[in-house]
Amino acid sequence: MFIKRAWIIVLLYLLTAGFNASLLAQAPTVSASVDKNKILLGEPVLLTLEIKAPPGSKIQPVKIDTLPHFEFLSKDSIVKDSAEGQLILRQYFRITSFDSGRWAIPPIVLNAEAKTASVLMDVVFTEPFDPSQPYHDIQDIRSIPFKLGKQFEKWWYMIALLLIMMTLVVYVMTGEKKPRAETKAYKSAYTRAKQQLAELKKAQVPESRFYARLVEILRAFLSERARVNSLQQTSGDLVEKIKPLFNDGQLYQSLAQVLSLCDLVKFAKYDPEDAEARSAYEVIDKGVDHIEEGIRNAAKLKKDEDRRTEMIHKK
Amino acid sequence: MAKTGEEIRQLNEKIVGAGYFVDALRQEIGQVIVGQHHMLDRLLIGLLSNGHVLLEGVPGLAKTLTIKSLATAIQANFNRIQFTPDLLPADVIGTLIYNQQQNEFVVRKGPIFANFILADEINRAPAKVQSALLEAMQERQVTIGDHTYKLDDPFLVLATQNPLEQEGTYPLPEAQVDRFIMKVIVRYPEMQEEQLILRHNVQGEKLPPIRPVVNVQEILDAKSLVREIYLDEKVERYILDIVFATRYPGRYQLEKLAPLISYGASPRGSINLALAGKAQAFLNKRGFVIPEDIRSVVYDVLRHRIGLTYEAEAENIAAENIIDEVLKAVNVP
Repeated sequence: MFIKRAWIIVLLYLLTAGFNASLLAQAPTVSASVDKNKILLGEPVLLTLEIKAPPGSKIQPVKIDTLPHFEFLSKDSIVKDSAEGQLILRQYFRITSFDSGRWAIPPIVLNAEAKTASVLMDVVFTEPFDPSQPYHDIQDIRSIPFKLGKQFEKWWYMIALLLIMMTLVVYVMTGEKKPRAETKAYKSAYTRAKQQLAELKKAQVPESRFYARLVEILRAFLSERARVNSLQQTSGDLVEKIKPLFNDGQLYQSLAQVLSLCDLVKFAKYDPEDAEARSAYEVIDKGVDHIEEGIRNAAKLKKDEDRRTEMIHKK
Repeated sequence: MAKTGEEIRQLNEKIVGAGYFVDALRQEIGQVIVGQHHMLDRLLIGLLSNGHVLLEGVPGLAKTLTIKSLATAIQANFNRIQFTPDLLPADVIGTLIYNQQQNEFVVRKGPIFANFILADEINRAPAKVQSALLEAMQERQVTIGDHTYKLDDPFLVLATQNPLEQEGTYPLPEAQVDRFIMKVIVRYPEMQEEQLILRHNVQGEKLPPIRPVVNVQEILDAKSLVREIYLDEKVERYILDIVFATRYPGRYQLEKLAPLISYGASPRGSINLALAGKAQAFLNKRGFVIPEDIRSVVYDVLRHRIGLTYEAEAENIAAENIIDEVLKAVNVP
């Protein structure tokens, strides 16, 4: 009796279990998946919607028009497939988001029993900075071998030839003219000063102009020959600057007095005697000669000194 | 007014006669002040050219003693005003106070009513006090209540600024600083000078009292003579060239200075350079100005009138360096 009842229970159980299993096998299932769970703003993501159902099932297509925080970029048509005796309907959506934050793709409902789980998605503004990572260039520096285009090769030959020619021309020009230019400057400062002094002596100019011109000639000569920025020096400063150029103390004193006299004429409308003008002229003239001689002697001495030093070094 | 050569010669002679007190003053003050000849000369230039002088230097460089000695030697009044953050304009120029006995308001004149004023640490007082003083300096008169009072003549204000402390100070704006004819940097004494100062102080030697060597009237006469000193057109042109070079460096082949100067010297700079040049000529007992006079005062007259850019400050370039370059570029007549 007991065995009979147990058999009935087992039989009933097997019957109900088989019925339930057949029922479950017939219910369609739906799932949603994404190819990545973290995107930058505007970065596309592939959303795959997959429905599995028994063959011959009538499945109403799922209409997804909007997803909160997401935009649809494209919708592919539904692809039919079958596997393990089941019908598989697959649809791909390309979506993106322009809202940064953590958003969920809500469950997509096929029917009351079949719906997807919600999919979490992080939408970030930028990749977070990881201070623990070593610094590196945005892109590794690549070495690219230099290759000259064939069309330029002949030009390179031309440029090289031109450069050689230019170097030769410059060498010929400077190599010969450099010492000449020095001699010219050296001579011209002195000769020009003397020439200008001679012209001033002959010219009939007002006294104020005569003295101003006298100082101008001296200043220009000093500027060029003695490398003294005499044009920007006051008479007092100039007298101090030219002191080392004079061995003759008396001439130096006279020159200082003449410069002072010139200041009087220029700035205080002083009217000097003719004799003073002649004397001032002579002092400036002698001063120019003296400075020129001093500079020549100094240059000669330096040359001798250099030669002597060279000989000592050779020995 | 154009002068003839003869007039200039006569003026020269007058100045040689009238300028005797310069040496006397230098000698008298030299008994009390060791060194600081530059500061004394600049005070005299300020006095003779009717200007006011801004002194900048660390404390303890005999600024107060110098002006006090100068006032005594000239027989003039001297007042010192210590500028503090709580000072009021009335504390400087004076105010009306109520007299109960006479039942009326009476004027209480402030310390500005003197020939020589030492405005000590002027940048410690707020702007309203500074501007009250600077206005009085400019106008040479102050108004208290309904009455306007003329200030004494000669009237020389020496304002000091301490360059070391910056906290709790109100730096003078450029427009106010421009009113000073010169900004003089008072430097430390030389070692030998300081040795003398040290000896005087350690041995407790009493300084000889300053004797009056000149009176106020003689100073006023000298001031009018200074105005008459001949300034040739060529020297005028030299002054203008210097000032314009600070404004338009490019015109004088000084393009490299352009990014260092935010603003050049004002027309007041030209005027004061000419006035200070005349006073310098007087100190040298000359009736006419030569470029050397201009060059000797140019740093003190222009250093506070040239605005420097951040670039200049970043490169430690001072106004003096700018003036150096300008003088190297401008041709002397």
